[in-house]
Amino acid sequence: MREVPFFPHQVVRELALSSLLLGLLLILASLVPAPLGAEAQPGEVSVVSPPWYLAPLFGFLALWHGVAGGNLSLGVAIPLLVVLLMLLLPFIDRGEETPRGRMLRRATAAGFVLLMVLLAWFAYSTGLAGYAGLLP
Amino acid sequence: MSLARIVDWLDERLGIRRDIERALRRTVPAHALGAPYCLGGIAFLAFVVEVLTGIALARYYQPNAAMAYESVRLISYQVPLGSLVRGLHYWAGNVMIAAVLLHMLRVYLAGAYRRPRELNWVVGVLLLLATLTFGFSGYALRWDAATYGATSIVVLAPASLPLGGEWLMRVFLGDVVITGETLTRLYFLHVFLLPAVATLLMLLHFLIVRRQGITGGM
Repeated sequence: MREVPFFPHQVVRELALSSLLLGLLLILASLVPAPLGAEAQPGEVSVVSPPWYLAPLFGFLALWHGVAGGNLSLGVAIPLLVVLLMLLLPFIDRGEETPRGRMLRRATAAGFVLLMVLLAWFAYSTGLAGYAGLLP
Repeated sequence: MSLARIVDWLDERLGIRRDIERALRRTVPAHALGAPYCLGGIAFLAFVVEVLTGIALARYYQPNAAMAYESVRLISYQVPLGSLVRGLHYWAGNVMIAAVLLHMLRVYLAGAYRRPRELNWVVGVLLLLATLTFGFSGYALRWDAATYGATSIVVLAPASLPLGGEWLMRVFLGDVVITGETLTRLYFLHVFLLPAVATLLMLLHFLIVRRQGITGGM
């Protein structure tokens, strides 16, 4: 493995990348302001629009509980189990590193990302109807 | 006073010269300068932007149901540079979450969670949860119709869990329906609890990387 010095090689690289990122953030923030809709009316839900990073979770809940009529507690417990599985991953995958293992990781990663995208898409396309059973 | 004299002064009292020299002389694998290995650093830089802009926003934001929306409006349309600072906070937050997710994907694909790096993977998953909670709790503070609807679901769905789901929601969010109290609790999570927890976890995350070194290329 070829090694390069932390200073100045990596430091210069990090400073350049940091400046680039800060510049991009400034441009983005000036061109596209943070959204702000109409004020919330407590007790009244007129629209459900989750942030993108929670959309797969919302999609799953809407599909599981809203469409399929599955048990709500189970619908909450399943994502929690996935998180638990993520935490335990290094203690589950502990054999020798093999080409087959690498392929398996690529396949599961691709499948997981695809599933998340589909669930997110469902979350945004289902409208209020998909969340009917979840709201007060 | 020259920089050398300042360092001399400090070195005489704290003995820092050797540590600085050793830190600067460290080497890193050449591939660690490549794009996939920058993701964790990008997440951290975005976090620093969040802290700085967040401190500025906290001078104007009012965490109660009656004033929250009005104060965000004030920040966006009245406060000098308010829109820019809020925009930076919004975008850096999104960048941070995206970078954390991609960083995690990179680590997974490289199998870098495997022995001997199990501990740092666990810390990383906890950081992912902290980051998502950061995102969600901040999103809810906006208190507009869209965030109110999504926040209702996040508060109501976990309350359905048997064995303490409702209790947990009451402790963390004040109630199992959204009230002004929920907003105050989310604010507490966003500006007090999570910054402390996330900073400690990040410190641990970086110290472990330092100790263990960077994994081989993908």
